[in-house]
Amino acid sequence: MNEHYEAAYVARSNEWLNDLAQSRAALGDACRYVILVIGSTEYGGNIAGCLDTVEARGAFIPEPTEVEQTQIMRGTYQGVTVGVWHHAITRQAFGASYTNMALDSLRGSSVEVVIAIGEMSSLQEHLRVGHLALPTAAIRGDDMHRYVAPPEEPAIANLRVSAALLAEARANGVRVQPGLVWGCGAGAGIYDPLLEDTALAYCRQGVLGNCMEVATTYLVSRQLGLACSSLWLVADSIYEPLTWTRPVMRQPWSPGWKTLVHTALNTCVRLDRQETDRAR
Amino acid sequence: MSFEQRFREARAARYQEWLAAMRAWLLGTAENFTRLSRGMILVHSSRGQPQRFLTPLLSDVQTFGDFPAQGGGAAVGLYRGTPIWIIHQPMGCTASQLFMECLTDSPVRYLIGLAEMTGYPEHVHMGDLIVPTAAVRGDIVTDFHASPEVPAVADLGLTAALEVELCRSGHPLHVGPIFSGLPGGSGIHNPILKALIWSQIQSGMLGGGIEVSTTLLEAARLGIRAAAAWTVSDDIFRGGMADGSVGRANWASAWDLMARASLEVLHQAATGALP
Repeated sequence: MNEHYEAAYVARSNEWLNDLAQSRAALGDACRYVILVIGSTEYGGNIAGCLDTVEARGAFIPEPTEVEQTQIMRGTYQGVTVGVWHHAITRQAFGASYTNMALDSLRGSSVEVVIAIGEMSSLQEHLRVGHLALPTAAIRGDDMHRYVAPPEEPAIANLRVSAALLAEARANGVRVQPGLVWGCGAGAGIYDPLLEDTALAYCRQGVLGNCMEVATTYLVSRQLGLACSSLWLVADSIYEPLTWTRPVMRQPWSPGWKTLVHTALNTCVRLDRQETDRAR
Repeated sequence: MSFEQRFREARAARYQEWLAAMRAWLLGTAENFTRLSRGMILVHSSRGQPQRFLTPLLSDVQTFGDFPAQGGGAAVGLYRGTPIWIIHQPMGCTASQLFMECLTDSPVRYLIGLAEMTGYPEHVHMGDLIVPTAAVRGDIVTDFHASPEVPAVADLGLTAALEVELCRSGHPLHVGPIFSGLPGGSGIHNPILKALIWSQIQSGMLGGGIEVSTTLLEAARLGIRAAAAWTVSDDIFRGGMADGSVGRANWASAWDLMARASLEVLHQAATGALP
């Protein structure tokens, strides 16, 4: 490899990573927990309303942009400092590329735990619209697939964070289905006509459904040393007619979204108390 | 009814519902699908709303949904009497495939993708124009619809016409293969991709453009003739656009040129004047 190229490549990598580090300035250095919203900022205000206090807000892109809403927040919830990070820099954007970028920006930060929340499509009749699922592992099929990690590396949730999420849900009477999911990057997802046989096979194998960005979320988090798990709201299902009121990409802010956010926040508190107890 | 039959019927029904919902999101209203013209421009961009360079060149412009703000919506207008639709996606191969899927059974027959990319070799500078003739398939999304041996190739007629139009400006222009499908996250600056990018430079790749292979392959599947014009927003040897000597002005100039050339080529396609 040419030395000139190597030097240039390293310089560009460092510039990029420095830019990302600056983008998280609003989180400060006191944030151990981040809720990664797999979505853009439509619900930023609602999520802020779930926090006890909002101490800082910031934008991922530090330049004027059409995205008026806050992309990064730092606040407190029951005495614990929590960051909220929207993965998308563009309204109504989705996909593993954005997730990779958002997580990369946490590289070298004070953040130790990431709880991702998002929307999914269900492949199972018992997992209905409005239900919650916790992907314990993901079949890698998104557009980041080839570059995030070698193909033999599994995308697995952090056990401690998953257990805390499940315990917190149970404590609050929230039903959560844990299991294997598909991180499918096809445009039409599980409804793609050319993927019907695959979807059918996965349905038979008990795969819960498609959480598009989850494989990249788990793989990149692990590489960065972040303990990560996630919670997903079923937005649509192969067994229920779609009732989307488009043109909007996501489900409207609903009791389901509120439950997602509160369960994630309460899990941060639970994990923090576990740490405190352990320290004692 | 067997489990399998029931699953397949449900999937087919959901697909039609999904298609209707996505078309409504993509085009601002579901009814616009029946109004689509033969020529379409697809802008891939996360920032800067570069689709705004197109509408001033059109007459009788109508916008739908949130256009030009990113995230749904479309515009249509007349270019020298030819109706041309503009749609814009945020970023990534999945979104690109979703948008193309929405064009299934549509009247669209000619499509030009516009976006910005990372330049690879040292002679490719920020603000230069690139017309990809083909794209190395680096994403898995294209594998869902086309087996790996199928190349992602731009339409020859549209590509030749784009080259002619862009050459007129005297702006630096490169025509050739690119690499496609790299992660939008860290993109080519991902430290683990250093050796891969080096090998691609040795193979003559002009740069990395995320959505090109998906767009070209999906277009081929749908019977749409497609090509692309991209501008270089950052490059390995000099850095990002905002920090470089070329800067924002050159970015705007490149987008203006791509907008003019793509509209002219689609007009030629509509009037049977393609090379």
